[in-house]
Amino acid sequence: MDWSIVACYLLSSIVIGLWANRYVGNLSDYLVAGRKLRLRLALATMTGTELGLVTVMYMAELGFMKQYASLYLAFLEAGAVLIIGLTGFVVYRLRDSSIMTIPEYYEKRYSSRVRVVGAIVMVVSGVLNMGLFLKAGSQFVTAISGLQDEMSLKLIMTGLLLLVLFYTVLGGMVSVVITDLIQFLILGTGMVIVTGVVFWSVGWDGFSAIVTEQNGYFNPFDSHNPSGKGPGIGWLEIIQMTVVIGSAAMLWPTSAARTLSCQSAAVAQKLYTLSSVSFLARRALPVFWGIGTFAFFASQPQLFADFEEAVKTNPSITSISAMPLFLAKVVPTGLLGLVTAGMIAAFMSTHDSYLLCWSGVITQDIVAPIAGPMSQRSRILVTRISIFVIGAMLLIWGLWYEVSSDLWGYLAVTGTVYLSGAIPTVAGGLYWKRGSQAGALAAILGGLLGLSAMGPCVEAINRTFSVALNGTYLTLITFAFSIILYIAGSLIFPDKTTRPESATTAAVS
Amino acid sequence: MYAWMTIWTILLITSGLAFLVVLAYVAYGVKSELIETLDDLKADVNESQAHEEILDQPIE
Repeated sequence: MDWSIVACYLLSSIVIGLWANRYVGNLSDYLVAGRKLRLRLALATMTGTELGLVTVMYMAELGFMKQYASLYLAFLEAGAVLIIGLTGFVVYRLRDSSIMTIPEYYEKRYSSRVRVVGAIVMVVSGVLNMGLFLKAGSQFVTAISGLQDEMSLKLIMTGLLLLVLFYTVLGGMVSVVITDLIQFLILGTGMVIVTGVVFWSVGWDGFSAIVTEQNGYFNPFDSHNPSGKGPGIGWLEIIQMTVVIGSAAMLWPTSAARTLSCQSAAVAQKLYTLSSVSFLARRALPVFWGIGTFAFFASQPQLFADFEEAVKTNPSITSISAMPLFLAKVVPTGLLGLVTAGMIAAFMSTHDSYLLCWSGVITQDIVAPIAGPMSQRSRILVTRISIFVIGAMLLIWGLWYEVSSDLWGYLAVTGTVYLSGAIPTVAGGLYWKRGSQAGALAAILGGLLGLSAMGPCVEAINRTFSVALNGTYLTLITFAFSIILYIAGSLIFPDKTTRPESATTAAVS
Repeated sequence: MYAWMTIWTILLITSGLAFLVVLAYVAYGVKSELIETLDDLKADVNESQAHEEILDQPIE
């Protein structure tokens, strides 16, 4: 019964993909749904995109390892999105500019060169960022279904990805929005069910016992994790996450694509205000499941010891697997199918948006400026080919790369490569008249320093220079470095031509 | 400890309830929004079909 629910859901996605193709008339329809999105649709697609299976997995992992303390991320992100929604900071002007991608703004404000360089860095960062989505998804399917055959698992994940490729290639943003709506309703229902089941299974006493009896971690400012299940958090990491999450809330390309698809700038601003709830839930609810998982294992010491032993000896089991293993034990048959369908919906709704976003950037901001004027038909064709190429890369990267024990850390670091350069370039471009092309190029390229915060690079840096840096330090250094480069580059090498009044605030309108 | 647990409990309850409200808000009026959006897109498609040559014109 569980698998028939999942199969029905998957078949409906194919039908929707075919049907949505009838509503794509031109490039704007394909990339930004003709900028016709009303508030509810935009909210559904924003939530569907940003509430992915990978988000659920890494937040539940944090809940399992750092318990209540990891909820600070939910607080930070919801706060950042709410402030942007209430003030319209950056997003209002971006939507008002009638652009289709963020690098397009780089050209309007700076130059074509900034657009191409910015787009290349964005795609590198974005594809690296989503490189582990498939792996995280496969770990969920393995743990929740008990499927042990590696080949079958790879075939299932390949099939899911091909399904996403099928409807995204066919209908572009129109397909993505319609499937996101269905996926939002299914995954939303799934999340409510899981939250109820987790609370019912662990109980109020179980959740209280985490802090009263099991040394649970609850104060994120304390850098020591008393549960002993993972590293602590502390001030520095909170500052790092404030910077990364605040930047991503404004300028993460898939969120920005929703902003740019809205019917008007006012709708885009309202979208952010309401999305603060979705962003709160996308982090808080999976953390709650992770906390429930910790309580479940902590109440059965032998089971906990067996799980920790399996993590050490079996490379296919990591701390990420704890939450789905717990769900497989406590969610009853029938509901488990609905939950699995909900999580597969989360997996698909994120992949389709990410694939379309990066492919659109490749076409509009790398291929077209380099190749010269291209027709709308050619651009749609190049975007479709790019979707397939990125899909193939994900398949290879995602199924062969080993997931580290800190998936969220990996995502934050890869996101930094793009965000650290984009923040000064866009915010400086919108609000500082003296921002120049040289400053923008320096800031964007400075973001590549963020690659040094990836695990193997950190080890090499520490070994070479006999220092004790970590990803947190290097992420913060990258952001500071890019901002300094932007300001210094703009002051030392100002643009030669005087920019008209429309270049900053209204350049985008 | 009690202060922190109060904050986290309020945060969790708020996120659960507010998410339910958002789900209901979207589910309540999304059908008419979807129809209006598809009508707008259909108009775009009709216009593109009436001027197919625009799709083949190179753009900067």
